Amino acid sequence: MRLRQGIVAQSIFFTAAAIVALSTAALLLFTGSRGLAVFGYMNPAEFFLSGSWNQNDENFGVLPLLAGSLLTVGLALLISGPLALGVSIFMVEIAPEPVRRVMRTVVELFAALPSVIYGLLGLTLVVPWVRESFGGGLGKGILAASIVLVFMTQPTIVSIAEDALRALPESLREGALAVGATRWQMIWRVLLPAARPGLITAVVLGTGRAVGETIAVQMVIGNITSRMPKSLLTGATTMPAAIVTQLPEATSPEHRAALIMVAFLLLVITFSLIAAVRAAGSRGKARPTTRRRPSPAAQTAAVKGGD
Amino acid sequence: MSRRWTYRPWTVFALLILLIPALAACGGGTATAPTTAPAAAATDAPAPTAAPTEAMAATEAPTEAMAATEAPTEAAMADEMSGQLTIAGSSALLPLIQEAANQFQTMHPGAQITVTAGGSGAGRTQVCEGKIDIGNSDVPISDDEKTKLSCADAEMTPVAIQAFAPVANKEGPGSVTSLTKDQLVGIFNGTVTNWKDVGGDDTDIILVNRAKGSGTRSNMAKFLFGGDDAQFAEGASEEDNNETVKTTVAQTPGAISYLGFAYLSDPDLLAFSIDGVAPTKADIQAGKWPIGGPGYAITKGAPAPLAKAFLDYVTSAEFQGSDAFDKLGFVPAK
Repeated sequence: MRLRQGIVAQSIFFTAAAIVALSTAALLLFTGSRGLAVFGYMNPAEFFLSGSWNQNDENFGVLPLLAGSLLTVGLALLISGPLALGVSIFMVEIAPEPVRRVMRTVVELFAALPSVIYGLLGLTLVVPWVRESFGGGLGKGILAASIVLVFMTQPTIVSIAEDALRALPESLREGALAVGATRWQMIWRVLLPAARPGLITAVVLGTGRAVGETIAVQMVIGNITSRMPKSLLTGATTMPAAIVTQLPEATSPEHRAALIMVAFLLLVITFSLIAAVRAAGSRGKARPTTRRRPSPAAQTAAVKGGD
Repeated sequence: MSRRWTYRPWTVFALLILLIPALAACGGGTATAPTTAPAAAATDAPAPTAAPTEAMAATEAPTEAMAATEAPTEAAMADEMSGQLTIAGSSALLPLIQEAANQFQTMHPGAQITVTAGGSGAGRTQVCEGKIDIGNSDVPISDDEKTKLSCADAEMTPVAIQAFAPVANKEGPGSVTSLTKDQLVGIFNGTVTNWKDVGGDDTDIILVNRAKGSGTRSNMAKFLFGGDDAQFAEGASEEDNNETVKTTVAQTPGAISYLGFAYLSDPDLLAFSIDGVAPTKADIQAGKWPIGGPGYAITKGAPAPLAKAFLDYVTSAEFQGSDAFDKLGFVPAK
């Protein structure tokens, strides 16, 4: 009886795994084949090197989108990374248990907020703030998008980094303190280096979340594709924002192919990030750290990373 | 551990059994989710009509015979009007078409109509590709598109007149409430950059556009630049929906954009008159208002019976004269 149940369970799980694997392959195949069709309309040099994406003259250069994504995500992580690290160190090493529990709930809540809520908050709070603080204009642009992304990436990075720090054996702390290290030295010289793989994973997954974020960014960045980003305060676009803005109105086959090619590039970027996580993770295995199961917040955050 | 393992497969099984009908329902067509509401409306609606008939039947015996003869004809009609209809496209036209679909389904419970937005461009493309039955568009299908999408036999039915007007934040224009076409051209092509140049306050003009290809933007380009979209000033932000445009303009001093008729009465915005003509219902219907035109329901070739019946209803005097138009902010096509 038990054996038969085992077989049934196994086949169910195998089927589930096969469905996931097949759909991933189908996704790559579909976007790849439809997207690469763009090179039937224009040569790759034009697509990858032209600094303008403009439907009016049917010129689709991916650089403004790529640059916008790079700047937005880069700026966001520059703020978000250290901030999240600080928060997680506080939660693990400094905060008393009740405070930690409240913070944990807050982080989980932030992880569960739908993108469009972040977008709405960005549009009604961040954009006017940027406009008034940095002078004139609309306030929409890379800076506003980055600020929104700082908030959106916090839960992902905090929850995974917190798990990584918490998983460190108590002996590390005791040993460091025993040889006369201050609390700061213990954290900075012992804990952070020991938790490095986990912390890298946290930042990379946060990057994944930021790169793929669509609606919230689209609402605050201004969606200008026809030229390279001029400054952090003027309108720009990112890859997913351009897709969601333009695909509904894309009637020409070359325009649609170009947008799907952008989607394919996004997939490639996301997969590279996952590969980076795995690389960081396997380096971590060599160290004597016991990884615990990630918290629910970490799981939600990691799952949401690809949307 | 082993004790946990013994019941797990059954939990998974139970979940799967629950999931299969759900998946099947989803696979049964995208129609499922949106149609539930209209279907409910359809079942609700007959109840009030049924009551009077019963009352009549009770008071007048002879009507029973009439009711008996009527029943089969009604059933036959319902049978003819059953089937599925998929409509997509212009988000501006969506509320009106949705309302028409709800009313149509109330009259013909056998008909399942799914209306979704997606943009005028998507409406034209998908109907030409045969993915949907009717595509809604704020602008007519162009000759270029007819060739590219092999859609030479597209049939366009005007369903409502859409009007668009320039709207601005209340800070900036000062006392200005009417602009000339030349002033608007200057503002939107980027040569006029301060409200004081058109008689307003000393405030920078901040342009907010809809995304290229949007029906609203196309109508604006047709009025301002003879349809040449490239003349819109470079570097103005582009938004993909009316709500974001509205919020952005309402909160940014000096901002100007354009919106559909339904938004013009918004208290946070200032809608401009053009050359002294205000965007009122009467002037729009009389053809005095210069921006806009008919919104179309497009079919590939002649519409199939159900699609034709639906379009007949949308263009009928009954629907065009209904208060749905006023309520939703549309101007009847007739």
